[in-house]
Amino acid sequence: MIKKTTILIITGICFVSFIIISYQSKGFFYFPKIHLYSFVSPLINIKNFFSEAFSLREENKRLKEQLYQLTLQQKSLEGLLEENKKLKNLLHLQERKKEIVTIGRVVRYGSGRFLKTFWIDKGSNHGVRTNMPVITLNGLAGKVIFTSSNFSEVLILTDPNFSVAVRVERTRAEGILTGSGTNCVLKYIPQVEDIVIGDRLITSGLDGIFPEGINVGVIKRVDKKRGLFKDIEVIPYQTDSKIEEVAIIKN
Amino acid sequence: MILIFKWVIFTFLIFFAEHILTFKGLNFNFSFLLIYIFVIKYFFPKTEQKKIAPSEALPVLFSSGIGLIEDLFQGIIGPAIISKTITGSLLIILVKQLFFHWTEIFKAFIILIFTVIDETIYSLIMVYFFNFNTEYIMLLKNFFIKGLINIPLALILTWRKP
Repeated sequence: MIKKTTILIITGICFVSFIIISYQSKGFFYFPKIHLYSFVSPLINIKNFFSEAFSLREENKRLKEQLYQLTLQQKSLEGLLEENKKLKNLLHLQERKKEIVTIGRVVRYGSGRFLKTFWIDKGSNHGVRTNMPVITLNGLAGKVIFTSSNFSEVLILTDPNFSVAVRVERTRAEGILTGSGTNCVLKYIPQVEDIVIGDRLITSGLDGIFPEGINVGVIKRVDKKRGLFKDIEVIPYQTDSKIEEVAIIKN
Repeated sequence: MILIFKWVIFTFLIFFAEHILTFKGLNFNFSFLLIYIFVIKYFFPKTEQKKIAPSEALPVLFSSGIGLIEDLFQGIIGPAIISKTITGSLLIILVKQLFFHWTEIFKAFIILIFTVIDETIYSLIMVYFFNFNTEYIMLLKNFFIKGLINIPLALILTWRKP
């Protein structure tokens, strides 16, 4: 079998590790995260250059179509905006603007063993800070959890450790949305609330991290289980695998 | 000296690959492969290097070292040290006890099981101490995928060994 000295070494290592872990979990000290991006980034840039070159023509075509559609939409929205502004002035409500810090490109998915994350090519040099919300054209994508000088790690909306305060657009019912691994779950919605499949969710701004009014997702399933709250499944507007470009906004 | 240099390079390459490669958002556990290869090469060396009773301390320390490097990349020191040390120790016991059962199928089975054990210990520590939320079925599925990916790589890297 195994020698006594070896058992002693194993026990010692595990004991010391457990002490370090318990101190870290209580927040007494932190270790800086080392990341290989300074070595990896040139390779990733080369890879991205080739993949971008192939997809540029297709993207250009798609963007032109999108531009025409948006121009048409803009015409009708301008009127509505003006009207909205006037009404807000009448009610003395202050307009809250969402200020974009920077636009980043997704360079790769994951690296953490436990969290669903992706990395973007913008970091603290570009004004990105931890806890800043990350959005796409479709809606909320996640939040920044780690920044280095030129790269940032973003926690994806569907990760079970992600949560955001949301509001049901139709009924104004408020709850907390958390990731479930593949989709999201809406929590703390009382049984009496009228929630139906297809209801849209937006951020409520009550968590102090995400500004109000960002599109989050659509109700997929509502289960009335025993207890105080409903069991609600949500499909996020922004699916994990299709994120290419994101905007980081101020919180 | 050359051997140490070779291992340093190999370790760096493995961690580099672990950081670059992902499969549908799922990262790999190549660091266990390092421990596996080290243990196999250490206890079954070439004929001219054979020792009568090789020390167990070195592979245990190597496993802990790999765990420490992995923890440094994650920003939390401890979980991978414990998981890798325990997995490495169990592997040492197994290698010493079951020398004559060391067939290719048995090796594949060991790689799968030990990758899952390593991941499970790591995850349990993270969930218990750091309150990480997780979907357990998906997590278990990911462990098995990582284990299955490790099988061909480990078999190729330790071809005809022992």
